[in-house]
Amino acid sequence: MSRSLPVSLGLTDTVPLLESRHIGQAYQKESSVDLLVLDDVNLSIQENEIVGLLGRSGSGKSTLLRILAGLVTPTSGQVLWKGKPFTGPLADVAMVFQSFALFPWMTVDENVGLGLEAGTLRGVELEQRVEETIELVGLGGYENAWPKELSNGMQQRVGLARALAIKPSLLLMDEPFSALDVLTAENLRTDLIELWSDKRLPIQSILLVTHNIEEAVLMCDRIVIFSSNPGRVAHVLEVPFAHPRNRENPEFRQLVDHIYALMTQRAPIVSEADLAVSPKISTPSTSGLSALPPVSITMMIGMMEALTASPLNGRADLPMLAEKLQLELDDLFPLGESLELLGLAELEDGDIFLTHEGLHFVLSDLEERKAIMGHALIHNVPLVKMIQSALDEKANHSASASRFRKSLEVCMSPDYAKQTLQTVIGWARFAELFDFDEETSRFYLEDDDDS
Amino acid sequence: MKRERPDFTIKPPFFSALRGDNARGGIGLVLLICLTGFLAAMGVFSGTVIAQSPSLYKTPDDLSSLNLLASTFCTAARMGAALCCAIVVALASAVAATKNQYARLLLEPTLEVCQSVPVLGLFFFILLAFQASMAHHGLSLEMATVMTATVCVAWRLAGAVYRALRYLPADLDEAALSLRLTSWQRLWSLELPYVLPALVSSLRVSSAATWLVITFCEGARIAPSHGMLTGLGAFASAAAFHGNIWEAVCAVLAMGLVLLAYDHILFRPATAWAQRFESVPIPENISDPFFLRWYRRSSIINLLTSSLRKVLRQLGRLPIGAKPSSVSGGKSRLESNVRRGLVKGIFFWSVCVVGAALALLFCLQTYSVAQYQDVLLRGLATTARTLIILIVSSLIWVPIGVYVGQRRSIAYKVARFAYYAMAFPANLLFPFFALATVSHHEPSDIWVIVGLLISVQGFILVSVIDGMKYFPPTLLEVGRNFHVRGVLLWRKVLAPGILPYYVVGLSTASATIWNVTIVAESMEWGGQTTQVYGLGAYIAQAMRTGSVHQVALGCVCMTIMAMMSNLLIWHPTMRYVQRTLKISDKAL
Repeated sequence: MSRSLPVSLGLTDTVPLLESRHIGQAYQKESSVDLLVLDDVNLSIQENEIVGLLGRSGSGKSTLLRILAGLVTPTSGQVLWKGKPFTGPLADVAMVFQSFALFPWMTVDENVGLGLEAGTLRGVELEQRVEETIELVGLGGYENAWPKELSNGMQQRVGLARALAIKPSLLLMDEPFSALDVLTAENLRTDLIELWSDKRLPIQSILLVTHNIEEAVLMCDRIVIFSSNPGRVAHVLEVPFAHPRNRENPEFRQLVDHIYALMTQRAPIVSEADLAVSPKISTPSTSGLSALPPVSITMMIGMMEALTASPLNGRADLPMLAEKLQLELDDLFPLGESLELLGLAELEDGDIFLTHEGLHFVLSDLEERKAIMGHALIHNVPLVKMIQSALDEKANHSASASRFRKSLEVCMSPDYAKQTLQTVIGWARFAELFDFDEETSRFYLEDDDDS
Repeated sequence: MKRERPDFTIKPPFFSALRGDNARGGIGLVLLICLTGFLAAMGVFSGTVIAQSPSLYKTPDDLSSLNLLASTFCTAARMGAALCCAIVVALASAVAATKNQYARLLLEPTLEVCQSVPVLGLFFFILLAFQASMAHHGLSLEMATVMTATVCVAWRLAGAVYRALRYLPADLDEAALSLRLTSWQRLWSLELPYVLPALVSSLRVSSAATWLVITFCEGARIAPSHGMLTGLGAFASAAAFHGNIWEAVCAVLAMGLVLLAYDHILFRPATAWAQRFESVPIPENISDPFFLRWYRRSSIINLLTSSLRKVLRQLGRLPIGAKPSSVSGGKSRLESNVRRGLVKGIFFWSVCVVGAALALLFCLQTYSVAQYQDVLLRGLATTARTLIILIVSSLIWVPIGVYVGQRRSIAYKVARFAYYAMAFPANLLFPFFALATVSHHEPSDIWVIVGLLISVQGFILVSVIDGMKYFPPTLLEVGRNFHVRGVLLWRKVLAPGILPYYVVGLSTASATIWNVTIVAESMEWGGQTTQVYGLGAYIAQAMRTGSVHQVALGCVCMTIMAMMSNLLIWHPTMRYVQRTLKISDKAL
């Protein structure tokens, strides 16, 4: 669902700061078919705007950010900086990392100055710039501290200062707040937006990658919603509110709800197989194998029980549920989608509700639950069925995991294949369908019938 | 969904500095290099005729205290020189190996071979090479000694640095990229600082194994050398030759002092200082060692280090090298990879086949069947001896280690003592065992075993204490809570907990023991040599008479045996233990 989207903002004639044209990134495979991570991504960043890249983990948004930063060359397509193509990291673009990426052997001072020293600035000028930037991000007094002495929030401020020190035109932020606790993240967001609104930041634009919907609505002028597998631009939304924004504002809530609805719209179960077929419809691939997220049985049960309980009565608004269960988007969606896959719940317009089967499951005792789950697994998860029938056929009722891993790897990356197998093992063990011996890496049936 | 379960990744930090886990280098390549090395050695040295008979050997007879002082100083200085050379060699080779795949192809198996080659035997060949190329005898002996010690340190360092570099955090790497550091700037601000902690801790451990090498080289009574260097090894050797007990004791004491001095003046301050380069603070943060505090206070040292730091910083910021370009994910790479792989494979196998053919030819021509039989039987005798020693020292030191390890207050002190025990060159003690054998006519076998035991017990003790140190305390509490005691406690709780560490310690000890047998199986006192039947004694005897072919055969046989025990016993055991006892679900 790729739309060409150099959204203009009334500046029709100006060349965008950064523009990506038909970016595609493929994962290299031994077999003939490459797996697409990014597919035909068109995106432009104008001056004076904060753009949010919103998507689920694994949607390729971090890869896109690295392509835009010049750290990775895309397999196809072109990235233009002020209208000109480039290769390699640009001097005018700085990046803030999710994990801060501070050099532990350098003091705050040295960390902030590193990008300048790699450039041409030297001597007093350099010291002055470092000093200024440190003051700007509120780190004054911490100049000689080691990164490990600082709290996470302070460390990320150092990361921010390091990026700002080179006075880049564009600041790229890769989930900069997701490694911080709630309060610290909020504090840093507010400070950043305040500096931005006061025009005190030595930058023209910010590209923010995030999986947090509220964060995107809180900070960005424009939100680009990414769909998963392969990553494509699904929607682009303008955020019309002025800073500072109020989370409790009804319009704010409405926009958040709207984004939830957009993101659950066609419920893409993680399936890298889809991409090979058609970019538009999520048809099951030939083998019908799809990647499974790392969702445990207990989480699914917990979610279903929470849904059944009294105030919700089987149906809930996802943003509300996320808050209630203290789950992040990255946790909530795979959970909901797994339930949907198993036919225990359905996602619709930003809501989740239990199906009849799901309700039945919650009301049953453990033995019945296992039976329901077993039934759901065999009917809805092709991989389970495949393993099950392979085990039934074999005389010794055991089969090596590597063969299933190989068939998975035809349509997904080895990491996904590994994770999918782990998820399936967990689910099947609960349903007592089959077991797995880690030592020999084989699936086997618990011997009680010899059919 | 973040996994909440703690992952007790079992990665013995202490011993990872000692050993590599690159068994994947493959038997083929390893044997190839071993054989070609063997061939090269033969090609160079088979023409060398050693006319010297051992009786002409000059033994220094200056046993004055002044000489003792000079000897102490010389030995310490040699270690310093070896450490400096080794650091340069190790850093260069490890950095090269991470950047260049051919260097990597060379380094991995080289490390594997170095782990098994008896360095003491290597000294013989290094000395021959230096004498062939250098007229001055004393200088060539000196150079050969330092070089042998360098080899002994460098491969361990290179392994540690190489392994550290492989785990260079991806985010720091990307940060360096996005800050547009050039390759030179990157080396100084990212790669070198990152490997520093691994380098320093490995330096401390590998120097432990090197004292034995240095003292052996100094005091070695081997055919190509006409005399001895000034050094503690030579002093002890001379004292033993003349039968002076007091002087021999003095040498031992002086050696102990050198060890202490090195540890306190260099290694411990360096280790404490290198902690700042770690990204996570080390929880067990004991106060800075005395000398580090003293260095920080001393104004001269401060002046020196601050100007050094400035120079290094300026040096590291020079814009040498290319600005980074982005990582390509292009399609063409796949095909060229396949082709390159094919070319590499053909090259590799042809070299392999030629090497093996040459080796076979040489072996058939040079040695008789009886010689092979002799070496093989002696090798088996030595193997049996090493097994006995590993079992006996385990029986003694595992319970002690566990007992000590549970008491964290004394564990630290005992571990340090065990380090000294590990580092102390046991060959300085061997004359006393020889004396016991000679004077009381006791069977020398027992004393050989005692000697070997002394030289390896430290490894076992340190590994067990280490294991207990990293044993999750909550699991011990669970054991106490459920009143798990006695045999059950050992079987279900303690043994699985320390096993990964213990196995690594055991394998390190076994690798060391082969080398030590060369000294231990033939000990000397007052001009008399006590010998036992074994491969070590065979090599030592051949070195003494200068029989190049026999030394080569003995060394290669020992290397192969050590490597086989690595490939067949230690690597599989370590992998098995680490896989089964690692608490993690990432099994597939």
